[in-house]
Amino acid sequence: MANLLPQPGPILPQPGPEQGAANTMTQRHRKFASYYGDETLDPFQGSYTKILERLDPETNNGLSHVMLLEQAVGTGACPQAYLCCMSQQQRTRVYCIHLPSRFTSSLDGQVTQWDSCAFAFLGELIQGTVQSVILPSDAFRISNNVRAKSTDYIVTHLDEVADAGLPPIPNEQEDATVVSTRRITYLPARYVPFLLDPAGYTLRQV
Amino acid sequence: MGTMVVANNVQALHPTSLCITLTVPIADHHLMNHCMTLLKQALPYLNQPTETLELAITQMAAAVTHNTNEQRLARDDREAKEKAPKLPSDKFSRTIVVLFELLQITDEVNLPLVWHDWANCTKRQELQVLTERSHAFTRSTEAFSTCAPVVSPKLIQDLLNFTFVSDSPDDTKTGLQPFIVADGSAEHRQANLELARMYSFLASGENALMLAD
Repeated sequence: MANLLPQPGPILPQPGPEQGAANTMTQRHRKFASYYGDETLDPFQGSYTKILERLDPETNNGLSHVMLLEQAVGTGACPQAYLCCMSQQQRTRVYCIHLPSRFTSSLDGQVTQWDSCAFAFLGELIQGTVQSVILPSDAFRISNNVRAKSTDYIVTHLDEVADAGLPPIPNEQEDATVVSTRRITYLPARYVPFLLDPAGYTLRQV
Repeated sequence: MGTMVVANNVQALHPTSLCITLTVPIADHHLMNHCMTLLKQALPYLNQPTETLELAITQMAAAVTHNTNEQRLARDDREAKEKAPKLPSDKFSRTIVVLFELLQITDEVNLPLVWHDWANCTKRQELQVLTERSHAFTRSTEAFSTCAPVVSPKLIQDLLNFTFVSDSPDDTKTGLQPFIVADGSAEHRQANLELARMYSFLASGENALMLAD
C-alpha cells in the first residue's frame, strides 16, 4: 500500500494556550468522529507533509518498522489513525484502525495473555463500545519491489480495479511502477471521521 | 480518498501479500480494563449525560421559567386591570355606540357621570348609584327640581336599554322621572310633561306637601 494520500489542506492556525484550553474544556467528545474532527486535538494541526514523508519508505526507507510501532503504541490517547487492507473470502476491504496501544502489564507481576501485545480500535463507537483488534507486530513492515498502477490509472479504471479486488500486475505491463510501501498507511486525523465504519469499505467506496 | 494507490506485490502474485490480518481478541477483564482506560482518556465525556439530554433539560427548564413568568405577568396585569377604574366601554361595550349616537358625543369621557359610576359598580349597586346621582343633581345649581326623582329597578333597566318612553303614561313602575324627555309619540310626551308638571307642583312652592299634612 503506497503512502500517497490526499493532499492536506492549508495549515491551520496554531491555537494559543488559552484558546486551546478553552476548546478542550468546551468540546465534550463522545464519538470518535467528533474526537478526530476536533482540529484543536490534531497533533499536526492539518500539516501532514512531514509525517507522511517520514512514514513513506520511498523517501525514508531506513526507518525501522519496529521503531515505528513502538512510537505509535507509545503515543497514548492522541489522535492517530491508519488505513489497512484485509482480504476475506477473496474480497478486499479497507479498514480504519486507530489509537494503537501496548497492553500494560500489571505491576504486581500478574501474567496475562495480552502482555506486550499491541491493540488498536476498529472504527467508531457503537452503543458505547468499540471493537479492539490485535495490531500485528509487523504492521509497519516495508514491502519493497511492489508493482503498482499509478493513481491516475486507478481513478480512471476504478470499476475494473475495484471489481477485481487487488489483481496481480504482470511484469510485462509497462504502465506499472515499482514502489516500496508499508502495510498500513497513516490517515490524517481530519479524514478519519469519513472512514470510521467498523465494517470497512470497499475499494470503490474508498 | 480517491487518490490512494493500492499496490500489488509481483513476487507474491496475490493481493493478500500486502493485506493485514486484523484479529479480534476474545476480551477478558484485563483487556477490557486496558481498552476502557484508553477510551476514557480519549473520550472523557463518554459516559456523561449526552449534550442532547442536557440541552433538553435546559430547554425544558427555560420553558417552565418562561411560562411561569408569563403567567405571573398575566396575573399581575389582570389584577391591575381589575383595580384600575373601568370605562363605560368596558362594561357597556355593545351599547356604548348607541349611547354615543343618542348623546351626540364621540368620546366616552364626555358621558354623564352616572355611566362612569355604573361602569365601576356591581349590578346590585346600580340603583343606589343612580339614586345618589339624582340626589346630587337636585342639590346642584343646574337642577330644575328640588325633589329627587324616585328611582326604581325598572327605571335602571329602561335607562340601560335606552327605553325612555314608559309603557303607559300613568305607569309608575318606572318611577317618577320628570327629568326625562320622552321622544315617543306626542301623547307620551304630553303625558310625561304633565307628570313632571304635577310632580313639581306637588313638591315645591305653596302646594308642597308638608309633614303636618
